Amino acid sequence: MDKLKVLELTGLTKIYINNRGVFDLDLDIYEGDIFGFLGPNGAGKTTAMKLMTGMMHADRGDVRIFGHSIKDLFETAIRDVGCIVETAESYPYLTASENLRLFSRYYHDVDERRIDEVLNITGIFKFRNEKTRNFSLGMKQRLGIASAILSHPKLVILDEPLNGMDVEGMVEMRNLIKRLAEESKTTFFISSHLIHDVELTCDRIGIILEGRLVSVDTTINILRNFASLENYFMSEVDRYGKL
Amino acid sequence: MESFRSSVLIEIIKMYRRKKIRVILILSVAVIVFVQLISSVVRGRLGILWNTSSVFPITVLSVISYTLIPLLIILLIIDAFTNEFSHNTMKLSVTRPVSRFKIYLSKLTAIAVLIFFNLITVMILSSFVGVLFNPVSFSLSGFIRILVSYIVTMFPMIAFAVVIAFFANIFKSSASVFFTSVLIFLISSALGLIFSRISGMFLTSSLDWYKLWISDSMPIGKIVSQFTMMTGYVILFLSAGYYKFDRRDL
Repeated sequence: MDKLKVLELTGLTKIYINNRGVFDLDLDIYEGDIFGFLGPNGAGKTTAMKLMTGMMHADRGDVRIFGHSIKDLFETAIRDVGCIVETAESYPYLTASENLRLFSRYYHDVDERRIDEVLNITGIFKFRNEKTRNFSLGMKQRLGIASAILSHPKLVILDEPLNGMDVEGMVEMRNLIKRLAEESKTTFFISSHLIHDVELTCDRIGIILEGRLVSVDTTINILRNFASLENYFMSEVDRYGKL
Repeated sequence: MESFRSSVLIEIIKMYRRKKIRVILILSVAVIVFVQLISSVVRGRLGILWNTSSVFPITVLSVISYTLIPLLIILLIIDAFTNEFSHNTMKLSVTRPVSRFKIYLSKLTAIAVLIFFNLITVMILSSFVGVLFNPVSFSLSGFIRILVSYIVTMFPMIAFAVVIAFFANIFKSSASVFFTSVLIFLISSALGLIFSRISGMFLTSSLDWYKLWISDSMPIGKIVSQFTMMTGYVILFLSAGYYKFDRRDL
């Protein structure tokens, strides 16, 4: 049976004044995928994610989420999406609980129990009544993940989700992502520079270099031909450099 | 519509929690006390009856409509737009299931609601102080005059907020928005005084349009022309401000 297409990028292009950006990105992500988006600094990972979540406008091309174009039907398209892009932000003058309560007002099915549940899942329940201006980077990241999964989204877009987290936190988050993908068929689109972590978490990998998507393959296929994802990544960078 | 309602509520909560509205409310109370003190001194020392209980709230309105309320609008607009952009928290709204148009309108609506709340609170407090400390001349018509004055003051305040919101989407720093807004306010007020014949063109000249509503011979023509001018400002600056807000990349 064909898997449901969750995210579809077609000819997605955004060019900055310095002529960098992303160019003609074509990509399909399917239900239950944990897609790892790899690329060196400045390759265009965050730009692509900003275009997917409506933070930026594309010069050309389109993003369709569950078949809805974000240009034409933004509210419908983004309804089942949770995300952290660039940095995990929150309102610093509110507590962790209050932040989540505020976000919950955008959705029908998020109540106090769900707020406590996501605070528990991300390990910050005991800090729920503290203003987030006092949070460490790791705690802010955990709150960002709590807010991204708050509304039971079917697609979660995470840009460097493990930034600032301790080892224990990284393992917890990896397990959380795998569990949600398996149990709730949640689809993940994750960018990370922690290549070993991507190898352990993601089942499909895309590599972006200088704004162009140069390869997409399954992790199993990649590891059949390469000793590690790091080797594959370096070979792709070399191959692209020679081209 | 539901997403718009949620967005308005969220904006109100955020603005209320930032405390500026409470500071301005405290300052408004200070204005009421100050105006009452002057009124008592004038009456006691010079024997001039300046304020009666039904005039006092309108005297207070004439002070706050040119000072505290515009200041509150500027501060709330800076918080709602400029600071949210510079602190990277705008993305918390933009990535939720609500369109940018609804976000823009909900911020302005929330500001209008808080200004209304502030005006009504000042009206109630000043009416109370007016009755307590001034010769009582309270009547139903006097109360209606007060109510009308405070309610119609909302229109120029909303128009002013829409104009400032445009500048908040042009400039990136809160200091630039603040000083530009204050400068525009002062220049517009000064031009209104210097060129009194065309003062109706300047938005600041509408801040006291409540006087037209409560004058004995209610000048309908003037009221309509002021209202049309304010509507023109709103349409122009709302469109331009929203265009800038919508096109902005985060």
